Order: sequence, then structure tokens, then C-alpha cells
Amino acid sequence: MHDFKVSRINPLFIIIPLSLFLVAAVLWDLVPKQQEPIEKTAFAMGSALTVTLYGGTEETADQISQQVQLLEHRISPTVSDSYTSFINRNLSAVTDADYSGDLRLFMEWGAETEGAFDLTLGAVSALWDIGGENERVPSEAEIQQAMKVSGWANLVIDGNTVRIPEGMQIDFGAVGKGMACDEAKTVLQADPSVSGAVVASGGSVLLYGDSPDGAWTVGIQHPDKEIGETIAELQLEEGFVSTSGNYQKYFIRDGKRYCHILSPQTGYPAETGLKSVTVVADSGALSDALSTACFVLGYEKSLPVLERFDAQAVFITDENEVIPTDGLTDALTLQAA
Amino acid sequence: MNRKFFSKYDSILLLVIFLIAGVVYFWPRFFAEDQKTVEIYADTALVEQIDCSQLLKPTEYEINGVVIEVSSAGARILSSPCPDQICVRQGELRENGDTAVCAPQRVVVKMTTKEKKQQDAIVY
Repeated sequence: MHDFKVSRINPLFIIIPLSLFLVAAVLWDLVPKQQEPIEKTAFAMGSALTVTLYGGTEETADQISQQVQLLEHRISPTVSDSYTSFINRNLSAVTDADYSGDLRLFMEWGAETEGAFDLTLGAVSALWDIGGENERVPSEAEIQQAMKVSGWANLVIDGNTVRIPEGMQIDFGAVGKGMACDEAKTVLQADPSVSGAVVASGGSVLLYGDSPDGAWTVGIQHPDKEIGETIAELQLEEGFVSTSGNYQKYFIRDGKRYCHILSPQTGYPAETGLKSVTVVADSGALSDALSTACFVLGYEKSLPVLERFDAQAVFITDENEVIPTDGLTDALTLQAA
Repeated sequence: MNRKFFSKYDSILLLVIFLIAGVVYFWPRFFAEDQKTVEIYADTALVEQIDCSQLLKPTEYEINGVVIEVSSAGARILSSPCPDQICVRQGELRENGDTAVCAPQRVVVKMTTKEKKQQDAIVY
């Protein structure tokens, strides 16, 4: 007969692992979990306005939307009682100092971008109506007629009085979403409880304060893929980022693609070997304006302009080559094809 | 004979118990299936909140004329009366924070999960 001996279980077998487990579980739960951001979406400037706040309050997020909607009511040509609509209808208006000041600044930018940034092309854009219900290729005569009354040289700003020639239409489309980001920054600066924020108005983005991850990650849309699929990523600190590209608003006639970014020199869609330009700058209006201007200018001619404004950019060529300026080389990561 | 207080086998048993406890505690936290919820907003008001895991087949929702298909995998805007059709080209929303917007029809479709967002914003 075998003599089976059952040894008594040492209580430490239970106590030690349980203690270690409890310590590990408590430590795990003590690890600070990332703060849940406040997220709000509104509609303004003809697109969605998305506000993501780290810290702050829902009131701050709402205030950003309200402020951007007020901006839209001042500058949008589709809002019937805006300054812009009034000027476009009546050829003249006395505006507030902010409006005339902005227009004066944008005239300077027009000059410094060799006319590539121009807010007076509304009449030409209306002929093409790209992204609208009456998209068409206008006749050469129509384009020339509209071009005659367009251009910064025909705009007069005298104090707060703005005058335009008959037929000219001011359109803030190339800068409005960036201006919305500037408005958002003003609201955020008044709320010290906001540690960080991302505000996106169409293709323009404000990166504000500190990211919970150390740096903000901004994806650049892949020109040939579905919206939301990116070709590259930028790791950035605070600042403004805007993209202008030929892949969102366009139409195709007789196999030819016509994009919504018009050349102020020709009145036709800009074709400079680029699919998109993403600009990083110190103001939203500037990043938005420069992204359009650089798209119109092309890669080579854009470089001195970017240097003049102390801005950086990422160019995507027709061959999907991604070319950053020197200041963004380290911040840029290409996505897998 | 005096039994050793902590034999080699005791240490192995101790380790095994500790590992089992750890796995039982941490496994669900790391590998729990992420719940996908699709939120549909009209004029910024939340009008539909759909738990994707409850859908046995793709289901269509129509909000302000915009037709949205939601399935267990994600959501996409199928059609819209808007002129530019940018929202239709948005593709499928699968990851946390993926959003499709139809600005003319004032409709937003948003995917939310517990996963961390890959990017803070996309410029396009």
C-alpha cells in the first residue's frame, strides 16, 4: 500500500500573489487616463466647424461657433446682409474698421503673392460655379469680360469706405475658413481652463495649446483616395494649418478636369503640376491665403513667397510626390501607400 | 524532515497563480472588443445614435435627404441631394472620430469608439 501524504497549503501561496495582484491593479488604476475632450460640430462658412477642447467648458465651444457665425454674417457673400453682399450689390459701403482693415491687409498679401491670392474673382468664380448647381465651362469672351472688372487694382479702400467697379464680386472663399480659425483662437485665449484645442473649419485647422500626446498630429488628405485617407502626417506644436487641393471641388467635361482654384492671371482653373498644398503659418487667414496662392503659383514660385511670410508648406505633385519645405522635413511622416 | 519554507515548486505555483490573476484582471482591459457607435446629427442636434454591434444587416437612415448606410463595420453616406457630392466621396467611417459632413444638407455622421484617435485633424 502506498502511503499518500497530503501536505498543508502554505497560506503565503494565497497571500503573496493576491497582494502583488492588488498592488498591480491599484497602480494600473492610478495611471492617469487621458482626459475626455469636449467635442462640438456646427455649420459655418459653408462647411462644418468642429471644435475639440481639452479642458474648458461647453460654453467655450459654443462661443467659438457663435463667433465664427458672426464672422460669416460679416464677410460671406451668400449672407444677404453681410458687408460683402452689400458691397457686391451696391458697389460701395462704409464698413467697420475690422472689415476694411482685413481687406487692406489682404490687398497687401495680394501684392506680396504676385497676385496669386485675390479675393476679387467672385464674378469669374460665378461663371464656372464649380461645386454649385450650374457647373460649366464659360466661353473665352465671358471669362475675359469678368476678368476686366476683377483684380485688386480695381478695388478702392478709403478709410472705412470700400468701393468696387460694376461687375466685380468680392469673395472671401480663399481665406474665410482660416479667418474662422483666428476667431476661434481669440475665444480660446479668453478661457485659461483650456489646456489644448483643435478647431477645424473645412480645410483649415487651428492647433491650440498643448496636445495630451505632446504634439498634435495632422493628417494630409491623399489626393486620390477617399476623404479621410491620408498621404502624410505632420507632428506640430501650436499653429494654423490649411490645405488647398484640386480633388474636392471639381467637375469633368469632355475628359478634362476643372478644379475650383482659379488663376487670377487667366481666369481658368490653376494647373501648376500640383494636387495640393498644405501651409503651416502663424495665422489662420495667412495659412488659408497662402495655401491657395502657392497652389496657383506652383512649387518653385511659392518658395520665396513662403519665406517672405515665414511660413512652411507641404506640396503634393501630380505624381503624388510629397515635398516639404525645410522647416517641416522632421515633422513629416509619409503614410504607407 | 523539516519541509523547506519555499521550495522550487512553491515558487512555480506562486508564479502561476500570479499570472492567472493578472490575465483575468488585465485581459479584458486590453483586448475587449471596442464598441462602435454611429452618431447622426442634423443641424447640430443628435438625431440617431446607433450601436453597430446590434445591427444584423446594413441599415439605411435618411436625414434631411441624405441617405446613410450603417453596418456592423462602419457607416457611409450613400447619397445626398447636395450639388458638390463631397460627402458621398467621404468613404466608410470605421475609426474613432471619422466624420462625414454634408454641409449643404447640414448633416454630420460620426463614428465613436473607445479607441484613441489616430490623428487630431485632417486637412483637405
